[in-house]
This record gives sequence, structure tokens and C-alpha cells, in this order.
Amino acid sequence: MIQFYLNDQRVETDAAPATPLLDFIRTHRDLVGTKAGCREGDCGACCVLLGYLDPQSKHVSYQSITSCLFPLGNVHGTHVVTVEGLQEIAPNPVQTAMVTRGATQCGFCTPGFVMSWMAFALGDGALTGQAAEQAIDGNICRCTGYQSLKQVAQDLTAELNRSLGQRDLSGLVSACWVPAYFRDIPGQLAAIPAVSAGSGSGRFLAGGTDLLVQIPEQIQEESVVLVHRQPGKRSIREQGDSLWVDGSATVTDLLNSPCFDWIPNWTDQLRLISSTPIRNIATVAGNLANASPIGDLSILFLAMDAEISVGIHEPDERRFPLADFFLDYKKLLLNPGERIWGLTIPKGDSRFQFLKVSKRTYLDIASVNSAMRIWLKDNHIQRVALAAGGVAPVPLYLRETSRFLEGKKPDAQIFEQALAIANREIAPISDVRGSAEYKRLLLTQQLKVHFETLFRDEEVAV
Amino acid sequence: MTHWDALSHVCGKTPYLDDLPFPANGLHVVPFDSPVAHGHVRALDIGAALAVPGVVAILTARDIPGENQIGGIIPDEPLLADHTVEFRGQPLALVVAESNAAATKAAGLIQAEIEALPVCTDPREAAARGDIIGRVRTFEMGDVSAGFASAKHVFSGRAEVGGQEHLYLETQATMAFPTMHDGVRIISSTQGPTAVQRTTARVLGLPMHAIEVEVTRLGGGFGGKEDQATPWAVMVALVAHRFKRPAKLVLDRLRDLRMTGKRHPYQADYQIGLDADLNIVAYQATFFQNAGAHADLSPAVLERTLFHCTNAYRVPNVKAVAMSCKTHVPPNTAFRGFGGPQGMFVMESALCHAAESLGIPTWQLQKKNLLRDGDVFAYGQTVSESQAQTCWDRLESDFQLAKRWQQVEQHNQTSNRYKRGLAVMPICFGISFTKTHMNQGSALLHVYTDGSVLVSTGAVEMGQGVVSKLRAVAASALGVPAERVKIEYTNTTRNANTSPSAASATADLNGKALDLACQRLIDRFRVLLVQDHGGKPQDYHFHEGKVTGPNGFEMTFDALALHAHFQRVSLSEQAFYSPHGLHFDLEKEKGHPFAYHVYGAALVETTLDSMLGTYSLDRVSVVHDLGRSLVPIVDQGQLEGGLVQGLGWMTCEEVAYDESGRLRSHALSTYKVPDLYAAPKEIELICLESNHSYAIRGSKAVGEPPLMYGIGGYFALRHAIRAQQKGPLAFHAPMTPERALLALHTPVREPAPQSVTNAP
Ligand SMILES: Cc1cc2nc3c(=O)[nH]c(=O)nc-3n(C[C@H](O)[C@H](O)[C@H](O)COP(=O)(O)OP(=O)(O)OC[C@H]3O[C@@H](n4cnc5c(N)ncnc54)[C@H](O)[C@@H]3O)c2cc1C
Ligand code: FES
Ligand code: FES
Repeated sequence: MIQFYLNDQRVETDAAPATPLLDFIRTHRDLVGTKAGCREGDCGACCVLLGYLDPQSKHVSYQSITSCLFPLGNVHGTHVVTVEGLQEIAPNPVQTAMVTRGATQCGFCTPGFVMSWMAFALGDGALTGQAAEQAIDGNICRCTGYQSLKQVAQDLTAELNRSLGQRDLSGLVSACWVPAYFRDIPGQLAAIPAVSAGSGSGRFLAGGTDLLVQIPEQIQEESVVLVHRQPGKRSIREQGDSLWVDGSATVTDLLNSPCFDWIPNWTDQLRLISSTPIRNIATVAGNLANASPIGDLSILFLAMDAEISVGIHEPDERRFPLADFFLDYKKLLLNPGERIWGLTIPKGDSRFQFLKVSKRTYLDIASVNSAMRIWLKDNHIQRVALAAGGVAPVPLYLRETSRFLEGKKPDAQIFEQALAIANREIAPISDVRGSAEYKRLLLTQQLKVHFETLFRDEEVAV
Repeated sequence: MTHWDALSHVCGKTPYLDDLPFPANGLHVVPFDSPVAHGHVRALDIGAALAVPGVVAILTARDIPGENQIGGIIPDEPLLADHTVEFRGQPLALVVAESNAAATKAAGLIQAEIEALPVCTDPREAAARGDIIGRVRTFEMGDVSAGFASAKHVFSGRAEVGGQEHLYLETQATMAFPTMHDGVRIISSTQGPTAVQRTTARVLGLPMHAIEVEVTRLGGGFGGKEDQATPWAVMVALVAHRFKRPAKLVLDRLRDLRMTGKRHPYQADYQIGLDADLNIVAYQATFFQNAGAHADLSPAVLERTLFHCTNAYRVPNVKAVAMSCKTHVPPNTAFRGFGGPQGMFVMESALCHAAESLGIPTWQLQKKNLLRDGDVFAYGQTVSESQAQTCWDRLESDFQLAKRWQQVEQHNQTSNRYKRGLAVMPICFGISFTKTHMNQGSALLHVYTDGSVLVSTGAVEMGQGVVSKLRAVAASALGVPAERVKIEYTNTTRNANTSPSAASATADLNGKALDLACQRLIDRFRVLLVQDHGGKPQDYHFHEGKVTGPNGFEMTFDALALHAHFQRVSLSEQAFYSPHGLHFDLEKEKGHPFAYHVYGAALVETTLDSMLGTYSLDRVSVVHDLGRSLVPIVDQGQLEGGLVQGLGWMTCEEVAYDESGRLRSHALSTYKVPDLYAAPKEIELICLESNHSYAIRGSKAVGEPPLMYGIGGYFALRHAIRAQQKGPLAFHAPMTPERALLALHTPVREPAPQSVTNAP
């Protein structure tokens, strides 16, 4: 039995755990304010709020999610808010600003924008115009051209800064951003009995952002093992001279984690991956297990020289380099029933950069992505980890190129040779994300940019 | 004044089709579409599909009681393919089931045995084989041969521009209910309720009065629901009529993408001649329109390509030839601009080619050749009230064109990796349906006894704000507050034989009719007032919800309505409007097809990362002739939205089919429309307020023209590429990051543009 709160109503349902939350909202509950624009996570018309209770602080933290892909089973114990859940106070400042600025035309995208901005208002991130814009990076509007929406982002930021002395729930309630019933939610969620995640048998289902796109109907008829976890249980932490990243960590967890502070522009790089409402639910393990040849996290962690922990019952039944994990197109070094528990990443004085080029810069899948990590010592390259996606049937660890660079003193000639080796290691194919010729050229260009950026202080002319 | 619907939208209370209550005993319909682009249908195995629990029936062409024909302009398109399929995605059968899930599942189990035939997706190839839909059209003025002979410079080449997916956020959706006397009531997300009505009547073999079509509102249309909302509505009508049960069909996004047509891709050959002073003396172009498998609206779209093939420029000698080429992709259809933008792209390519060869900025050539009053378009209409020069001048003075150009050039000299680009895009777009008879609108006006006002017109609200404009018209004409006016859903029983909401003309045509209806009602009220209170009719003024007259007479509008009712004076009016003076002779290809033209100019600035081929749109500065806007916030939204849609078409939006006719850009993950960050960082707008009597209360049509500013995005990027790459470079839009990077770093293999300089 799945139990949660939908707006101010308690819900108990026996619907299949892989039912998309959107279908439950629209079809089972007749709450049709939430729209279906694509059912693939790509338009944001279905955005709703998902609130998790922190058992210690009794605080509920809200995020926007694409309800078309989030499995119903994952919402057990949470608070789900749709646009109807704001009815008591409508129009609230978000809604008023959108009306005033003319930021809605056909209106089909609009409830999604409202909910994304509600997550911004309820969140604890920076209250800047830039952050307000980032909050709607998963929402597509085909009518407005976004200028009026950008003005709304500015208005909301100003209004939040102005009207909220204290940025907490009671402040938001009294300024009429959220209805009063939100105050009761923490207590109500606390009363919902916990269920043990990860039990049962069948296919693992985490955020659903791959599975509910790939086999939306089939998955609802299968038995599944829900492995998505509450925020408090998705740890990213330092562990001796390495970092531990839980397989259930979401991309948002990675983006916010202080453990990656050593990488300049880390958050900017991670924002190139999907969109806010997808990042809030998409997991590390899901990305690795999906084994897409252009999976961004796969590339990123390959180039961090990560090790992967897999096992049926325990994290460390087997642990080996991630570079050995991807065997062939969608073939993994993973036995039936084995779960991905997490990654171990060596710390150490190094530099790292992730690059991604796609047709549209944000919320798009890469044509080619790549990442490079270098350890330097005495003007020499001590160690290199280089990975590229979109150039092979698997997320590719460029072994030869990495090995070649090790021990070398960086200079233009060495880079030239490295490029030649890299070009021998790859075998891109033509598809909708680009011709083989383009992908080859694009990787070469990305490698040049990696060399230029990562060796900037070494005064090498690239 | 805001969008009338805005508050409802933000509260999530606006019902779109899929949100409307649908009875539990209703049937759900999912079309089964051809998996092959071209072939003979040998057999359809529906056994497994029929066995799915909940499946009620599977209908095919044989189940159609009337004519299996939905072609609007040319009768060449069956509702359900019978013997031959001509594109992947063509409907072959309808799965009818108790639930959408059952229907979807069953559709996946149908097996079609199709003997494959050769597939053609290239319009030039189709033209070479003579696979032309309709006739080849030629617009001719002056003598091009003489023009080219007199030219100092002649440049010729090829240009190619891609298609565009509408990506209305609400997919195609419709439902139907059986009604008494063998009729059907349809609710459809369509821009063209009358087309739905007419076609349903034809397919069901019923008179048009048996079919009622209602349109509540659309979650976006952009032309994609002008003609192509029709088949789905006819399908549910067929099911409702046959089973005497309600029926509903909402296309999922993937089906919508693969089964519906898009903006037409074009290929073209051009030749342009300039005299020593760089005046255009001759222009010749041949357009190969990729029409897809059936005519749909292609012949009309083709026509508009010709109308706009010289954009905003004075060209004394023109010869433009165009043909709709039949290929095996879904029938391409109306899309904001309706073929005009494609014609303009080719003209701009020709000018850019000339400028690049002559080593001058393109904008100098553009400026030199802008239209002036008294010039004549190739189709015979004389230019009057041209705003081309005015718009350009404001662009130069207010947005400092020359200075910005210099800054860009300077930047490019010093920066290696990041190159900037700048281009100007002037536009001139004709307002009216080019099929003259379609220029008509109608309005039905009821005032109720409490003084509240109800308006119905043929206009469909799809986000373009037409209801807000109509409300403004009625409120101002009747002198009542806007809150007292309600614009009713569009319905064929209230407004008959309407034109679709398209061609940017909806507010003009229906608004003028409404204005007339209001005027007539006011006249009738005045007669009554004179009878009762004396004075002359024009002594009575209607404003702020009341009527004032001689000797301090004052009465509320509401009281007057009730009074009139008791005096047995009709509180209803119906009015019809058609602009006079429009004509076009299809044999001579000459006439006066447009009520007026809309002008403007945009300055587009970009930055290109020459290492990676990625780019950003930094700023777009627009001078646009809006006239006297009725609802400025609506018009500004149309401007910005159209502009960004046009920029998308020129940059990241790439419709791709493979050789087998399969849509490769098949989902939102592979077809990218602009998001917040792909849109320009900044848009500056200056709106001119020229007047024109054909525009509704002086508020000029705004739906389509701004889209064409987007073309400047392509040329701005090209300019940035030119900072590094001086070699041959094909004119091929969209300029995706892939095209940009390949242009920057690999030799060009496409045929190089030709240029000739005539000996003086
Ligand atoms: C709109 C959109 C945009 C996207 N953009 C990007 C992008 O920019 N870059 C990118 O890389 N990806 C992108 N993705 C893909 C997707 O978000 C990622 O692959 C995501 O990380 C998958 O995680 P999940 O939790 O949603 O996986 P799920 O869909 O739940 O599962 C995916 C696979 O992983 C398996 N699995 C899940 N957890 C485990 C586990 N613990 N152990 C073993 N197997 C497991 C599942 O069985 C399944 O096979 C996008 C997806 C969408 C819908
Ligand atoms: S419906 Fe488009 S993101 Fe969910
Ligand atoms: S208002 Fe129509 S899609 Fe945003």
C-alpha cells in the first residue's frame, strides 16, 4: 500500500508502483491542472512538487519533479503538490507575476512553470534572478519566447527578498505563497509508516527517468524493486583519501555536494545534465546501469577514475574500476540481481573538467561529451583519466591516450600525438545526434579545449 | 489590460481537450499507422489486437460510410489508407477500445504486410521525376534576361532550408458524441472548425448541418492544427457515429510527431543581378517545396513563398518559379509564415552571397534596396504606406547599427576563440488569406437582459490572444467594461462557414465583424432612445457602462438592455465582414491580394565558440510596425514568441528523416525547440504606430510576421563563421552546432555558390 499526501488529501493506493505519478494525478484523481506534454521528461508541463520529511528536523523539503516519469511507488511517505494544491491562496505571488507579465499565452505549459517556481520559493537555494531562471530550466514554452518569463523570475526574486523576513514555512504561509495546510504536513507525513526500500524481486527501479521512457507500459506490469531513497539516505561523503558516492544519489545531490568543491565551475558543468526536475530524481546508479554511450555521469565518473561497488546484498561484494564495467553496447559487468551501491573516487591534488556539446546547450543529450582528470607533478603528467561519450558503443575510457600522456611533459607535440591516438581509439557512428565525421571532429576539439584549460598554468602553447 | 485567460491558466483551471469530462462509457481511439513510407498494403493482421481485452473493434477504410477523402485543396488524401501507403505514420486502421491503455496495446499488436516501394524524401529528385502536386507556379515581372544582361554583378547558387515541427505543447486531441437525428457533435482542438465539419460530413456521408463542431481552446496551434487537426476529429466522429457512443482520441507525443506534417523544407536555385550602384536589377529563383505525400495546404503555402520571394526589397525584374514536390514524408502543412519565410530565406541568401563576394556588409545591400511607396511587387500590387525605410532608420538610429557592426568586426580581429556575428533582417509580410474568398469573418452578439454581453465569432483562441482583442473591441464599441463581455467558445452552430484562425487575419476579420455587430445594436438602441427621449441619434453616447444624452439624460447600459427587451427590441446582432478591394487573377498571377503589409526590421547578434561550434544569441533588437495595439501585452508576447520560434527554426530545430522515410527527430529528446537559454539573452523592442484602416481599430496583424526576424539568426551565425572561414560555404539552414563546427573546420563539399562579374 502506497501512502502519501496529495495536496491536502491523504492517499492510500494499491496502484502499481511503476505507475507514472502523472497518470495517478490526472486519471485516478481527476486533478487535470497538471498537463502531459511529452511523457518523456522533456517539456516540464507535468511538474509537481515533491516534499520529503526530514525525520530529525521535522522540516519538509520540496523539489520540482517531472511527474510523468516518477514512479508512484517512490512517493510513499511524501507530500505531492499540484497546481490545485495552491487553490486556497490562488493567485499567489508566482501566479500573479505570470499574469502581470503576460507570461502565459496558450497556457498549456503554465502550471508546470508555476510549480517549478514554487520549488524555487520553497527551497533553500540562493534568492537570485539567476537561480529563479535556473528553476525553470526544465520547462519548455512554445508561445512566449521566454522574455516575459524572465521578467517573472526577476519579480519573484525581488518579491521573495522583500516579503520574507524569515524564509521558512510560516513566513511563506503568512505571505500567501503557500496555503496554511502546509503547516500540518510535517506531522501528517511523520505518521505514515515507513516501508523498506529495495525489497522484493524484479527489475531495479530508481528515479524512472530511463525506464519510464523506455518501457512505460511494460514496467507497470512487472514486479519491481524500488531503490530510490529519501534525501537523508543518499550520501556523498569523504572517506579517508577517497570520496564515496551512493548509487542512489541524484544529480542534484552531486551538484550541491561540497565534496566536489575542488572542481572549478562544478555546478555549471552539472547543470548541463538534463534539467532541474529531472536532476532531482535521476540517480547515479541509474545512469551507470542504463549504460548509454553518452551517459554524462558515466563519462564524468570514468574520468574521475572511480571504482564501482556492486553486490546482491552488500555494497562491497565486488569492487572494481568503473572502466571495466562497460563491456559492450548496453552490456555490463553486472550479474543478475546485483545492485550498484556506489562509487569510490580517489581524492588527491588534481584537475578535472567535463565538457558536453549538444544541439541545444541545456536539457539535451550530448552529441559528444568528454571528461579529463589530470594529476601533475614536477611539470610532468603523473596520471591521466580521460573518457568520452558518443564515440563508441559504450561510455569510453580512453585507455591508450591516457596511458600515452602519463609521465610526459605537456607540450604541443605531445598533445598532437595524443589526439592521433585518441582518434584511433574511437569509432563514432552517424545518428540523429550527429554524423560520424562531426563526432570525430567534435571530440578532437573538446580534447584541445581540455588541454588548453587543464594545462593553462603550464604555459604550453596548444 | 492582460490576457483575458491568464488568471485561469496560472491557476490550472483552463480545460484543454484532454481535461474535459469524458463519460465512463466512452470509447478510446488509437490510430494504427504505417511502418513503411511507401508500399502496397497486402494484408493487415488484426487477430492479436482484437484479442486484447477491452478492444471493441478495429476499423479500416472499408468501414467508412461516405467518401474516404480528407484532402481540402486537392482530393488526394484518404482518411485511412486502403491499397497504398505513402508515408510512415499514415493512418491505416483505428483501434477502438474501452480504455486508452487497451487501444494503445492493441495498436502495437497489429501487423501490416506491406510490399515496399521506392522511397523518395528529396524534393529535387521528385521534381526531376515529374512528381509534382498541383501545377508549377510562376510569378514574373519585367524582363529578367534583360535585367541580368544589364547587371554589373550576377551571383547564383543554391539555398536549402529545413522543416520545422510545430510542437504545440498540447498534442492533437478531439472527442465526439452521437446526437439526435443521426448527427455528431465534435469537440476538437482545431484552428479550423469549419474544415472539420465539412470533412466529417463528407466522410460520414451526412449533410453539414448534422455535424456540430466546438472548439474550446488550443494549447498552441501555430498552423499545425489548421488542416491537420481534421483527420483525428473525423476519426472520432466515425467511431461515435457508428457505435453511438462517445469517442475520444488524444495523440501521444510520439504519434503526433511521426503522423503529422511540419513546416515545408525547401530547396532553391537563385540568381541575383546588381548594377554598379548595387541596386538589385534582376532576381530569379526556382523553389522546390518538399510537400510530402499529399497536397494538404501545400499549394497555398507555395503561393505565399512566391508572394514573399523578394521580401522587403525593390526588384524591377523578377522571375520566380515554384513547385510542390511529392515525397514520402507526412504531408507538410501550414506553419506560422506559411511558406513566406522560406521565400525570404532564399532572397536573403542571394543578398548575403552578393555581399560576401563584393566584400561589403550585407546590411548595406539590404538598406540600399528597401521598398518604397510606388514600387510594385512581382504579383502586381503597388507598394503603399511602406514602413520599410522608417523601420530601418529607427534601427540605425536607436540601435546604432553601424557602431555595433564595428564593434563586432573589431572583436573578431582580436578574439581567437569566440567570434561574434551580426545580421539585419527586414521583413515585409502581406496580411490576408491569399485565397481571396477566405477573407471573411462573422460575429454573433447577444446582450442579455442584465446587460451582460456574449460574443461568438469564427475566431479560435490558441494562445494568440484573439479573445482578449475581441473583448477589447466589444467593450469599447458598446462602451461597457471588459468584465461585462464574455467571448464564447467557437462553435459551428453559432458561426457558420468560417475561415480558419490563420494568416494572422483572425482578429482583423472577426474583430471587424464584431465591431459592425456592435455598431448595429447601438444604432438600434439609439432609435429607441430618440423615440423615448427625443434628440438625435448621435446625441447618445455609450461609455463606461452607461448611455448619456441630451438634457443630462443618463441610463446604465444594463437598464437600457432590459428596457429595450420590454420594448421588444432585439438584443442580438449578427454581422459579416469582408475587406473590399482584394482580388487575384490566378491565370495572370497578378492582382491585389493583400489588405496591407506589415513591416519591421531586426538586428540579431550572436557569439560563436569557434572551438566547439556552439553559440549563443546575445541580443535581438526589433523595430516593428504594430499599428495602434489593442492589447499591447498580447502583441508583445506574439512578437517575442514568434521571433524565438523563428530563431529556433534557424538554429537548433532540425527535422530529420532517414532514407527510409523514418522520422529521426522523433521525440522531444531528439527535436529541440528553444528553451530559456537558447532564446536570446535580450530582446529590445520598438513598436511603431502607423495606421491602417483594414487593421482592426488600427491594431495590425501580428501573428506571423515576427517569426521571420528569426532568419537573421542564421545570417548572424554565418557572419561569425566568416570571421574565421572565408572559403565556400553553402546556404543551408538550420545552422546547428554540427553545421557550424563542420563549416569552421572542414573543407566544404557542397557545390560552391557561383558568382560572375559582367564586364562593364
Ligand atoms: C528529459 C531527460 C533528460 C535527460 N538528460 C540526460 C543528460 O543530459 N545526461 C545523461 O547522462 N542522462 C540524461 N537522462 C537520462 C537519465 O536521467 C539518467 O540516465 C538517469 O541518471 C537514470 O537514473 P534513474 O534513477 O532515473 O534510473 P531508472 O530509470 O530508474 O533506471 C535506469 C536503469 O538503471 C537500473 N538501476 C537503477 N538503479 C540501479 C541500481 N542501484 N543498481 C543496478 N541497476 C539500477 C534500472 O533497472 C534501469 O535499467 C535524461 C533523461 C530524461 C528523461
Ligand atoms: S509531460 Fe513533458 S516532462 Fe512530463
Ligand atoms: S504559453 Fe503556450 S506553451 Fe507556454
